Amino acid sequence: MSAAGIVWSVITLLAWGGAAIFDKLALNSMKGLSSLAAVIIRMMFAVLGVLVIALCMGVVDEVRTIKPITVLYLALSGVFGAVIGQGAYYYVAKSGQVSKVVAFTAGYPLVTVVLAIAFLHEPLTWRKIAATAMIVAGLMILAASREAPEKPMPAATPEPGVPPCAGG
Amino acid sequence: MRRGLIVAVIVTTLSWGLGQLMDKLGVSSLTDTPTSAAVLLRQAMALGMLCVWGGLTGKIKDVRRAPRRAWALLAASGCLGVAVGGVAYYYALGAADISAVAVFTSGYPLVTLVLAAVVLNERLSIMKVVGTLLVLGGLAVLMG
Repeated sequence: MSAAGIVWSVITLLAWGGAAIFDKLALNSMKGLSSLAAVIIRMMFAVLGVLVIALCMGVVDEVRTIKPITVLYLALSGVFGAVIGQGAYYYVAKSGQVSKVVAFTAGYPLVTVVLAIAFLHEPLTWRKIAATAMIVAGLMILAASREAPEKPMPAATPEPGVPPCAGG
Repeated sequence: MRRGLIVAVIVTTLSWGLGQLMDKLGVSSLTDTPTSAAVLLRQAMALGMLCVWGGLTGKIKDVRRAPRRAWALLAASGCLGVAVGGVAYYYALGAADISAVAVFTSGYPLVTLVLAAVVLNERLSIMKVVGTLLVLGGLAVLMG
């Protein structure tokens, strides 16, 4: 992995990990309300935040220059991550077996690795295989060791294994 | 697990994996367009889809009923996790292989775990320590 890739990935890791704490505190104050409402409020501020970043960088006008094929990929990312993935996750979370389910869904990076090798022809190295196996196993153990929720309800925000960006 | 539940788990996992692949394809197809402009478009489209979903299910009404404290906390989460994290994630996708970035960033629950122990005084069990060590080891292997 290049130095730039590591730096941006570490920033991502810290931002996603820190945000989950705010999510948990927010959910505690939203008892009885839909978790989808929390996701919508969070995304409203996210769009505002990205708008501020884009304004500071002076690139807002560049949105109009994005090619249709890029728009399609970004829209599909939203459809898979924010709608289908999140919708199916709500369905399984309603079963009340959140800990068990999250342990399975924590394996999503494996899907990404397989798809990247199959469609983007990215190289498969022993280092990637070892790292993927260790991280996915660790995430599954972390997810399985979570305490059971007080009552069965959908989790609005990232549990271990849910990509915050892809998950909306 | 019931069959419907198993199908939903598979759909969830596949969708998140596919979503990340689409992110990489989107970033790769950017030529002169800045990454943050693409993130702005992506998140705005996702917000639109979520609002439609909330409208169709009638759950969008709960947005107005959320207390101010929740709004403030979700604002912090949205700005940090989705805005800052989202922009950094797309820059990472532009700088490295998706297979490496996806695996690396999937270790973020580790940061949450440490912060939860420090900020919220949550208990660390032996299983959590074992899981944490495995994730840390995997990140070290990927960086090395």
